[in-house]
Amino acid sequence: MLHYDEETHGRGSGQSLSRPNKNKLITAKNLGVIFSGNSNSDTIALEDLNLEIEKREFLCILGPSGCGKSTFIRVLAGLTKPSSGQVTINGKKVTGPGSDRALVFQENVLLPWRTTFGNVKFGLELKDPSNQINKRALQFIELVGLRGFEHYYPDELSGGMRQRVGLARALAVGPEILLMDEPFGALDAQTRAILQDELLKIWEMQRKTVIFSTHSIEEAIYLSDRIAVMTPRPGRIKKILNVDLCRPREYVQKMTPEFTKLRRHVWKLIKENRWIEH
Amino acid sequence: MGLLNPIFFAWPSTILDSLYSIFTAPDFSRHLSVTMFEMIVGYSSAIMVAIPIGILMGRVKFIENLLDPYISALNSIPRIALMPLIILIFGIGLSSKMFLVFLGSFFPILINTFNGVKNIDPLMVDMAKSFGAKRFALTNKVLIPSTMPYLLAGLRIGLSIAFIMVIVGEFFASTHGVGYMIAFEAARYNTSGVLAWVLIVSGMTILFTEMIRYFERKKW
Repeated sequence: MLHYDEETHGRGSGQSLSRPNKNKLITAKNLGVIFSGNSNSDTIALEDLNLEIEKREFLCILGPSGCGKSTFIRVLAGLTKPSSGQVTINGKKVTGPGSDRALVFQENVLLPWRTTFGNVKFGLELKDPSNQINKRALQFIELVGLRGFEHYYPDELSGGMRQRVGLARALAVGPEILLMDEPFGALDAQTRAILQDELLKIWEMQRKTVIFSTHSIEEAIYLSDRIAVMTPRPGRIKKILNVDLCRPREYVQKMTPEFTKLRRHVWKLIKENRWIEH
Repeated sequence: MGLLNPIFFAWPSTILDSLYSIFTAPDFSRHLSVTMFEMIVGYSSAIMVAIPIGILMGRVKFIENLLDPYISALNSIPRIALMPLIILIFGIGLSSKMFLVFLGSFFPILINTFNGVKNIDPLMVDMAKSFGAKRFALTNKVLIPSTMPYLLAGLRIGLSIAFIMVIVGEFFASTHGVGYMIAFEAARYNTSGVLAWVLIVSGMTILFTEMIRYFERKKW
């Protein structure tokens, strides 16, 4: 069941080789981001990053801490402006946040003075202040499995539950693209596994385009259709791997030989990174 | 009961008697309203000046750097030490006490507002922006609720200092007011009278604090 190709996206090449269909939703071209530091030391977070993301695919960005995954996601979200290069979505250049994208953060960033219901409503009420959004908010609270917890405050919820609220909030605004920045990173292993399955279950219903950053190889393989492996800072896409494990994914697949083989392959790739770049 | 010197202590029953005679005295409302007025004017002007400056300082680094040293310096002067000078300048009328109240409450409100605005989680601002929050929504839905706890703490501290300033100011130089009456009764060794007026002051404090607490509950 496993069959993978490797495509190399290094400097200069911008076209993918074995995916000829023009289903490109997001394109990052020569993307560079430089943060000006305090004492005249600039941090080059991303350098010459090229990536094409297709409609309805689940793409994982895999890389070590500090490689620029979050920066890349922020650029896609429109929160950070690129220093060079550009990102286009459906052909249009990204200049700021938009209703076609929604972000899920690692620290979930819920408003502590609002209940679950209030937090999920947040994105909705910015577009529509009426009461019509209430029903929709409740639907999404139910979708992420938090029925009964609508009136709980964030500090009364567990980490996993808070992440579900963050997810509901993002899904509620009906974005075409879901950007997830290491959303399960702060959770314990069991909660993480549960939420991975829940995320996939929800995704199967609607198949949005998802860009999910992580530093867990297992997570990247389990969730995605393709993995974009990033180099350590300055970040660039080193290689893209197709993950052709059958869907819907199940937890037991993590223990199959195919999975392990892919895992070993990815691990070698990452170790290689560290050897070469440092 | 020779142990308890009637000069220093007073039985609750005598305090109640004093309270009664205070309430029925013709100039009670005058004293009370003088002090209330001084408090309200001084405190609300402090709010109106301190909060905008605090917000500006919190949001604009340049202003923070500009004003912070002066504020630290001025804040470390015990305001009570300035009292004689202020009475000299403003006289023994209401304005000197109003200014004292202003001085006393200004700094805590300013500093707390400033800290509140400064400590707004930038991630929260980013999150709001990512969902499309513009200026107005950002301020109303994120910045204000986020700053509220700090601001309210500042208001409370400012309030207690304001009370100290008004009462002590009235001790010092005044012709009317609650503080004036405390000093007056103390000079006559009328302990129960003093304690009765002190109870009245506590009543005022509770009243003002309840108003702040109303806002605490509301925004949350």
